[in-house]
Amino acid sequence: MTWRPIALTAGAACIVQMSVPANAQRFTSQAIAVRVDVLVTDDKKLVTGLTAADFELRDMGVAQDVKQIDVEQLPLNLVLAFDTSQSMEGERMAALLAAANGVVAGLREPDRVALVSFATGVRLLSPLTSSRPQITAALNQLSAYGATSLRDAVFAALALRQEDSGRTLVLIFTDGDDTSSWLTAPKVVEAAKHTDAVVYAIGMRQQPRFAFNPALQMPTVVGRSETEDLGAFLRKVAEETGGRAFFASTNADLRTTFGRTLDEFRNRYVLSYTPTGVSAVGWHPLNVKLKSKRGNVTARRGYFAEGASPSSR
Amino acid sequence: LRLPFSGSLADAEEAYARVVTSQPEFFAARVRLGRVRTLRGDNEGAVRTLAAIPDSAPPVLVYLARLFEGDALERQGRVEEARQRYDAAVRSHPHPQSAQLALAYLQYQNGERVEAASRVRETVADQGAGEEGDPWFWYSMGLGGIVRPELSALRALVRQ
Repeated sequence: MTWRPIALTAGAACIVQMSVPANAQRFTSQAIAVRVDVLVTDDKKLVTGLTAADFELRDMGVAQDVKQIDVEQLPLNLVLAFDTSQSMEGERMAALLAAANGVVAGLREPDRVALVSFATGVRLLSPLTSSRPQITAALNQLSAYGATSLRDAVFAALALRQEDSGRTLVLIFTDGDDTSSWLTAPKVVEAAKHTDAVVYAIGMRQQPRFAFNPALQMPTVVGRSETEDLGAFLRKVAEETGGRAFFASTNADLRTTFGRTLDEFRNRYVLSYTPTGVSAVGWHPLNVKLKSKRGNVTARRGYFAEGASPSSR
Repeated sequence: LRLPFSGSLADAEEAYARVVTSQPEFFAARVRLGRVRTLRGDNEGAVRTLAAIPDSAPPVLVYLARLFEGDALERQGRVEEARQRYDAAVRSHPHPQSAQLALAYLQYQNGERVEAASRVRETVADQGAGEEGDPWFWYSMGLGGIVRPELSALRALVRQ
């Protein structure tokens, strides 16, 4: 048996330095550094200029000694996962392309982009690349057709996350409910707990559905809006990773919403610590708050220390 | 046999069970019976029903049977058996995106991230996996998948 040292992200926000047999499925951690991506807002405005000393971070309820990593030093891996189902045809697709090109234009040189499209099936149109012409060409391939495998695509985007020192932002866009995924919502949400990628989800706010009500002799809202399920799923996945979900009202809003997402991601804080006084395995709930300054903190809810994933326990 | 469109899984199970009893070799009905049993929470019953579909059945039905069997096993916590069935589904069809994602999910949750990523990369590179390539898509969407060209033509007419 050969042993090779590797660095893995242990589920969520955890970088684990380990020795692992090449064919092993379970790992023994030797030293752990956990990285937590944090957003601070106050009355919907970004709070900038904070330092590690402003944060209190508890891992399994135990206060940790945190350091701050300069986000400028970390290259960004941007995974775009875009809905290309039939309903995207026409003006909406054009608006999506304009918004995506705006985001790509705002990236820095070392940043990389991947493009996943999803309709009935999921496709990788470009792996992570720093080549802007390559990603532009991939974006130009997008065409609307078919159903919506949103959950499958979200899982694929999370699973494709590469183990490196960069920060990964998974940016999902969809304009409708899932109609053809194999994976269920609880499974994909569970998978989101095992990644250190941050998910930002952008959906379209749809008009309520009406039907003529013979008893009232007038149109009324019927049933539950599809977007309630969609919104709940997008919010849940985003929240598990410390990201956020936004809903655009019109196609024209997309460019602004995409730009806001990248801007927000750039203005987050990356905290790092070596866990002390906590279990080496299993689910680690995280609680991050400001010690004295004002602001709302958004961060992932926890992480799994490797070796104790649900299916192996 | 005309199946009642009542929206009731219990009715569907009863109807499919009658078909399977009278025509044991009608594997399309058996696939649907197995799936309905899973959706009703009878995972052991689903596995029994689906395991009776031989590898000599049409590939599309073998694929769906192994995929659904894997799911029913996974829901019982029988993860290794589920993997084997998903693997069998992958081997039975050229565009097995759903089965590949099912396997990748098990790997991912077991900490086999590199293997899961590799599997996902392989399946999302499969240009034939979308649309009607994976039998799960037309199974889950019913006739919607089959009549899509007609629906597109209708949409075009409405826009005019």
